[in-house]
Amino acid sequence: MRILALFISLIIGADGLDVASLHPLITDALKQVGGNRLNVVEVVKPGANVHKFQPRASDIKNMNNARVIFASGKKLEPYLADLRDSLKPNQLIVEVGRTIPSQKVSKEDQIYTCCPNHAVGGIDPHWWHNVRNMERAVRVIEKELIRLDPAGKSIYAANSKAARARLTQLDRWVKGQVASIPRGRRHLVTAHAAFGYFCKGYGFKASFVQGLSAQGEVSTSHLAGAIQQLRKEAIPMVFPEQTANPKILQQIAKQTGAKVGNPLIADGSTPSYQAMIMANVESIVAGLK
Amino acid sequence: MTRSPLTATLLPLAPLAALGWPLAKVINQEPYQQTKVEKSSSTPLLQADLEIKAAHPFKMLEVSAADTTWIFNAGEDIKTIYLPKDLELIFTVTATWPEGIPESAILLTLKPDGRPDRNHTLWGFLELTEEIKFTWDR
Repeated sequence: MRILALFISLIIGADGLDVASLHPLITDALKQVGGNRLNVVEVVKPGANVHKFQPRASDIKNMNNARVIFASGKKLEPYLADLRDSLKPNQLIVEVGRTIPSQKVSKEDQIYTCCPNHAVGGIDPHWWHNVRNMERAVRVIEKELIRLDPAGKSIYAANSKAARARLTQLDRWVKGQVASIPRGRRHLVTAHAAFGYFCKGYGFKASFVQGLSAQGEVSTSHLAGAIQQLRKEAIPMVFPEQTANPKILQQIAKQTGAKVGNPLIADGSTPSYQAMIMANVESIVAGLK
Repeated sequence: MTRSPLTATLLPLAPLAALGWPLAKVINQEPYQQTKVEKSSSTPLLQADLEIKAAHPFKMLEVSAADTTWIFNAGEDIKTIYLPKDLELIFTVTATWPEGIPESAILLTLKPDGRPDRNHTLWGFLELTEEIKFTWDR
């Protein structure tokens, strides 16, 4: 049995296990767990708009050798059903976010200046903003890689354990940073509803002025209501996002007397998960402390 | 025809070796690790990660729930387990520590697929047996 495992290991070690990733943060996690044993095809690269991405024929061709395609899940990739039809029978798609408890957009604790009826009840796909969710994602990746490549079990398990230990440390760091913001000021106002998991995980009240989509339209009446409430709460800072139109947020800031903070990375279109979390938390703490 | 002294010595031992080999296979079996859940195929099961963080190295750690026992060996910190899809699950945790270890803590975290984490810290001095209950709304 050990000889067989060694033989498989030699075969895979020679060429590597081919996988593809549909999200930059998943690519980061795959590289951490798989190390040199994986060849990762980065279909969606850092900087791309993950909400608007649609695979082209050339992307499908690039995924041709991938044994498994890792997606974020929670309906972030509405094209998955069509993509499945384009794949070979032995290729499969794994939605990494599937084991993470879904958070729905709630009307009670959030302000929606954009079409609240449309946003309420929808599943928030931005699960990665709670570091503990990324720990779960790393386990999903570990299990899937072991299933595909059992000979690499010890490598994947050790890398996953190390990655999860780093994430535990990062989670503690986030909590320590958040603790420096007075409780009454832990209210995060951003453009689109990408920070629900962050707010629930780390004890913030959330206000998202554009709902779930970065492209949301804003009605005047909802905007007026939001401005009134934010003025009442004396919000010190509102945060734009790197991939969202900042105009509405700037308008709200002007009318409520709030400052505009550093842009946050909402959609995770960045090469390093840890760097994204640290940059976001540092911006939030600097603005609200 | 005379046998060499070596053959003459080894030949009477052959029946003993023939008996000993299967006996060694029985004795050298892998230690008993886990009782499998024997449920009817219609019972839906919930996959979960059961994670432990121990403040000190333990001698033995067993977690039981729903007719199944999971044994954590030294250095092992996470297991994928299958549980009934109940909204209330009761776990019995048994642990022992070697002599010389002070009162110690074990953090047990359950991460079921699609459900929020549940965790509990257990304290014990040299040994502990405790029952804990995790519940979910839906």
